[in-house]
Amino acid sequence: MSSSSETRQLPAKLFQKGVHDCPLCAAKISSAAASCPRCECHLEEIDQSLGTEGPKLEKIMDFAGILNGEDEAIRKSISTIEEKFPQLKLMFCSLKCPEEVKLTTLGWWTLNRGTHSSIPGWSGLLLIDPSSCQATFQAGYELEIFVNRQKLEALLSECGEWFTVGDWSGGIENFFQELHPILKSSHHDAITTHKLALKSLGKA
Amino acid sequence: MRISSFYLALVLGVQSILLLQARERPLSFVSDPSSSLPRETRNSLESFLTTRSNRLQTEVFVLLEPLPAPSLEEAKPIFEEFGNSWSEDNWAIISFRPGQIGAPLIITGGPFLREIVLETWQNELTTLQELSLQSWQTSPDIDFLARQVADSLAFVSRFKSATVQSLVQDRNEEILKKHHSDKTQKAYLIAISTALLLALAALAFLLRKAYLARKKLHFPETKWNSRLGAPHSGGSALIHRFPPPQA
Repeated sequence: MSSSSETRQLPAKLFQKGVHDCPLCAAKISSAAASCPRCECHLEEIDQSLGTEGPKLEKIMDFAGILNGEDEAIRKSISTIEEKFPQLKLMFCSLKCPEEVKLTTLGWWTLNRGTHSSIPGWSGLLLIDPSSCQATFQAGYELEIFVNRQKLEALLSECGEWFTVGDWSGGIENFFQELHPILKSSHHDAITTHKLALKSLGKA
Repeated sequence: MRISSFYLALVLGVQSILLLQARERPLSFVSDPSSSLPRETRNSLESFLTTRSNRLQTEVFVLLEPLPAPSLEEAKPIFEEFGNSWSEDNWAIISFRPGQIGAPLIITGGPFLREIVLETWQNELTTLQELSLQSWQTSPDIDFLARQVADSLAFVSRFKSATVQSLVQDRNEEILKKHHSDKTQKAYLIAISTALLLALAALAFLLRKAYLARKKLHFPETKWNSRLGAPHSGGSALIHRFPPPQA
């Protein structure tokens, strides 16, 4: 049933409501910034300290060993989302982030330098550092357009309460379970916007 | 010729006078001026016919006297006129002239004639006439005939009325039954339709739910720009710092 107009690519700014910020200094940047205007951050600069080859990206990467093998429920939650949204590739990673590297920078580098098994732009990575008590969610270029930052922020905050009591697997499972309705809502909004945009273009 | 014409006019005049006199209702149901019937028979018949008249509104007049017309055919309309003027109920006139050869004349009238099959009634009367002749006596059995005619008349008129009433009652009951049946049928129809609609709605709801559950969702493809020299992600990350886990 898909027609050429339905598959037509529209500019990302039509859908994106959030802002962009630098993974290193968190300064606001434009959607096509070649480097951060404040800290001049660029991926190649980060490569100098972290290298150019990232890990092979898998669904569950528990390098910090916080799950103790109890990852089945998390894997199931991720699979449920991926079945519903075949474009997406979601991952979880726990590690002890070096003190000199920011967790957001590490997540950004991981998504860009890691080895993907599918389209990288639709990837989403939940990264947790239990030693520094930080959690971050990093999305590829395409997924980030549709993710509601405010809702994600609230969700991370909610999961933080689980982590505080030491229930890592419960918190992570809850994150992916609650991410599902957020993505559904985002999808609904995106489709509505997409249709309206195509209609406007058709009239024009 | 003049004398013959005079006598003819005289005879016709006398007949007219007789007709005028006969049109008055007889004082009794059995008119027998020549006493051709035995007294007991006449009294008994008179009593029988009076009872029938009072109870069943059927009046049978027995006229044992000369006909009011030269022939039976001519007498029939005259008797019909008599009967209609004498009675407002169902009536019959049995006319027999003593010494007459053949069966007595029977004329009937009244409201019941409008509700029965005349041919059947006439056959009934003919049968009665024939039965009245099946006697060893030289004259027909007038008593038997009068009683039979009275009974038949009463029966036919009442039977018709009863039948009509019964039919009306049956019809009303039938209408009521049909009405109830229609009402019940309608109620069943509404109930079944409602149940079907609800079932269809539930089915549609379940099918839609199942369809939506299985439906794959795809985000629209977009045109995006890369940032900070990164090929896959622009680094717009959310970070949350949580309190250290309690020991």
